[in-house]
Amino acid sequence: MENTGYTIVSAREAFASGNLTPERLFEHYQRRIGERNEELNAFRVTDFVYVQRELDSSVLTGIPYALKDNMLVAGTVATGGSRILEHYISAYDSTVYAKLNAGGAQLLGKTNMDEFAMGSSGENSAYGIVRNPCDITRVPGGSSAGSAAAVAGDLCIFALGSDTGGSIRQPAALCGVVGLKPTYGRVSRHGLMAMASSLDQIGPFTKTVRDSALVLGAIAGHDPFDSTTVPRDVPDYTETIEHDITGLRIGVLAEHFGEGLAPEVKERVEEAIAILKKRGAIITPISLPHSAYALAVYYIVQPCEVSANLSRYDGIRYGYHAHSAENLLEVYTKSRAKGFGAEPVRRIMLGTYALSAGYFDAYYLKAQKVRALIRQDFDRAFEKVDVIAGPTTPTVAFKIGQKSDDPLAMYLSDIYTVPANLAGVPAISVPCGVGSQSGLPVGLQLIGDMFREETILRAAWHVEQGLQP
Amino acid sequence: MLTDTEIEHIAKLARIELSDEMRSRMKHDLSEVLDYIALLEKADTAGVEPLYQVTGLQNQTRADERRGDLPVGRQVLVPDEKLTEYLVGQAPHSQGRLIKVKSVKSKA
Repeated sequence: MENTGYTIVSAREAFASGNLTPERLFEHYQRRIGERNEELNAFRVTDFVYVQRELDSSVLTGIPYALKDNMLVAGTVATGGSRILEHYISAYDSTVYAKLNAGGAQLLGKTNMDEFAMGSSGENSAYGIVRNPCDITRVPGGSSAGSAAAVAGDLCIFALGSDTGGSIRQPAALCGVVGLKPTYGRVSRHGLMAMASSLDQIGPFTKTVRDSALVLGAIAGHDPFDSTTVPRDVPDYTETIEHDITGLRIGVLAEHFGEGLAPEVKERVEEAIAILKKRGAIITPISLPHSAYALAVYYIVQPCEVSANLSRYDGIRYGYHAHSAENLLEVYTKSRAKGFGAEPVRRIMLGTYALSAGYFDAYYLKAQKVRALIRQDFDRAFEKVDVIAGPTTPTVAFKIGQKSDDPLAMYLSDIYTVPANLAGVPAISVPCGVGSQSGLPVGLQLIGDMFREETILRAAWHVEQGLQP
Repeated sequence: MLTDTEIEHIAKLARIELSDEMRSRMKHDLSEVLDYIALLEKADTAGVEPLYQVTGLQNQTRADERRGDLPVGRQVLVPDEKLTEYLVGQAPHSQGRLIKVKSVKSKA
């Protein structure tokens, strides 16, 4: 799909030429939302007001954007896509919002999402399913479904999502936009609803790779309010983006080109890798021998952390409360039964089981050991190559309802994205054309070593340029 | 396959009341995922230390002094009426600055 509408770069040019003002751009996007949101259901809340700002050197001044509804903005509703938080008002600002706001960006609204960021299709929200702007009979992917659909449908210029097992990259691939999961510890999660704390990371959805670099630069950095952020300087990610890739070593991951990969996806991804080769990169086959275990590790570690993080939703301090309860225990059991949808219940129960007496060693401990092996695979791979390339998803966007009754089939849509979360390394999905059969977007995933966002952004930029007609 | 007793036990630990429909659905779904996860048994992890976190950061402490500069753009939280309203006022049952909870025992 052709990306339409403004990018950060083109909006800034229009501001500079005097043909556009931030206020008119804001109104333009409010109109776009008015026209298309009923169909797409990408936005949940859009009642944020325009704030007049001086046009200054700050790169995001006056740029309209969207936040996934699991990020807090003080004094406004944040639902996380769950009924249990239907009327919940945030008491403080998330760091990402504070940073974007200080950088002059203009919030348009909060986007719909799979409940508590659990899902790969945008069908698990308590507030209705999200549709793919490329084909409204298909899913946009998930869990940052609304953010992906909002950028792809040109309802905003950029959006933030969160990625625990692929929740930025997978919907970005299925909607045909750029989605970046930064290194674990690069972007503060303060004010992000915790889902799986050792995996969650916030990142941008954009229409171009350059915009992705700009937004990352604005939200990255150490935060005293999030002790998992790494005290490390934030480079100007756009500075090296156009640099030559001659001699850049790109490993093609054998394990991600095997069984289950749709031929039309394989075709486009191989073409994108050929572009990198043509532009001077050295392509070598590479192996991550333990990647076959990644999804199984993920579906132990993630539910275990979910079961702990979601225990705070108990109907006592805020959120849905079962008034029929007779005693304290019933407040918990009935509020949680009514407040959570099927997917959170499934994962909470899975995690509770894996962590229960007698099962810890067999599940959680075993999974964390295999996770160490997966990380070692990456460490070894990055001794030989700078970037690991492969498909973001095994298929293009699937039909709404196609996998909603089969959790395991749904989980398998994240098979190529989870390894980066388990290892903590950064990864980007960049559009690489449309499938020859379906005509739907295909994403190329580029994985880098810890804190090497510049390298994957540079490779992604070259793919984007190479695909220009 | 998980048994009904096991599902009931997990639901109790997780503090979620299950309807009959959800109980049979969870029994099926969880069993299917557990079958898939069993593939980890094949991984040789002898002598491998578990990886609980990826950054290697440990004990992130700050200097024991008054913090002057808050990060850019951050709202400073002052315990005013508004904050009390957000933090206590959202509880389904509250009284002044306190949150009310149900009795541990059922009413007779």
